[in-house]
Amino acid sequence: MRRKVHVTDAAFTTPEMGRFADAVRGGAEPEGVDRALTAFREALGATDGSGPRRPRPRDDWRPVRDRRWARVPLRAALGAAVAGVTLGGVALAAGTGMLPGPAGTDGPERRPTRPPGVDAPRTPSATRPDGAPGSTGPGPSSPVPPEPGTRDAPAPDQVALCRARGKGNGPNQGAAFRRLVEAAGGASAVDAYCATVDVPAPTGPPSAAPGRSKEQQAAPPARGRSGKTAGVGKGR
Amino acid sequence: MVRGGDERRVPAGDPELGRAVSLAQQGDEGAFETAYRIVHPGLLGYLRGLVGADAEDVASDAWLQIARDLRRFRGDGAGFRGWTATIARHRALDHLRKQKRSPRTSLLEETALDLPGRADTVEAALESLSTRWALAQIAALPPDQAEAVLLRVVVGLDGPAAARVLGKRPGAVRTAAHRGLRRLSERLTAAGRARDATGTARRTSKDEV
Repeated sequence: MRRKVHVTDAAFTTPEMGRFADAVRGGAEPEGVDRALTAFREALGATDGSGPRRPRPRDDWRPVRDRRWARVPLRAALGAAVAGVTLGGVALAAGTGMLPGPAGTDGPERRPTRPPGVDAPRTPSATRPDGAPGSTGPGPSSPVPPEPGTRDAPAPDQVALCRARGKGNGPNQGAAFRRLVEAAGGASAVDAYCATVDVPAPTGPPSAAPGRSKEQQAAPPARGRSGKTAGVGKGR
Repeated sequence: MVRGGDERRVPAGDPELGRAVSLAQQGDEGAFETAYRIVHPGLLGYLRGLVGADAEDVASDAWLQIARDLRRFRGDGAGFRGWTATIARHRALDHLRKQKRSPRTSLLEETALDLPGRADTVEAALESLSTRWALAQIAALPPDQAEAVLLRVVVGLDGPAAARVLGKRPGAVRTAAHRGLRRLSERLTAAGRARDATGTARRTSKDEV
């Protein structure tokens, strides 16, 4: 209280200055209060239902020490946010570090984190049979095997598996085919699974039509229409 | 003739004003009127210093916004003075912008037009400090000092609050306010001396410091 500021502050409130201040204030129009009260009533009516409005920083005129207290939660929240970002970054880095290959394309990246059997069938079954583009639109594009034409080359093992299917003429007993079925998530999904592999094939994708898949699963690279598919699969 | 300066001193926190504002925020119209009656004279004086004869109109605009934003306000009575002064200042600057004037020129124009002659000035100081004479004293100060003095003396803000209203550093505003106050005091003292010299018959003169 004895600080310099307060001592000199007294100079602003001397009787002489008080009279001076009164002179500057002068008299006010008597109707001023009515205008103000009208504004008050209107404002009251306008904001009645909406509850108290959130103060902006310029509306906070509490003493600084109170404002400081009020800011604590904000700071804490900020700290938590920063910590969250930091930890998230660490987690992200750790996750990346676990990936086997160089982090780059999302196709191979996803593989190790989820068994292909889980991922693979989802897209084909979701997008292909009904063929509705909007059904799972952007969703499956990243976590699942690449879509024809839009993706990078399929993972080598996928290509190999599907190629094996083509070779495994006749009975689909082979160990390679079993792996393929496993990878595709079921015998019924093999066709769709390998349809994505057909992309790099020379003849272009006559991508397995939905109707064909049943007969395909019974005897995959058979004659007739499916012969075409087999041919594509073989790359001939 | 001597009126106590204490009644015009702003008590720390303005308890009555603080209570009134708090009630007004809850919709109490009578409390809002109380707050208005406490705050308005100082705001009006401040606005007179900024926009001269348009002060009443600008004050009206300011109170419109004060009423509208009242529920956003956080603080006590002293805070309310600062908050309302900020709103009034913005309204005044808007007003001047529309008229393409600066606070300085408006103040000078007003007072230059109406400034009485020296003898009249002294005489006015003798009787009582007229609003016009007082504003002339303010107008004689450099602009930053004038506004700082208005906020400190007329609105009744403390140094940090005045700085916040002006959007300047407290140190700069304190310096401006003190320089302005010193000049003003000199002028008031000179006026008082002149009054003492002329007002031989006045017994009240010895009461006037």
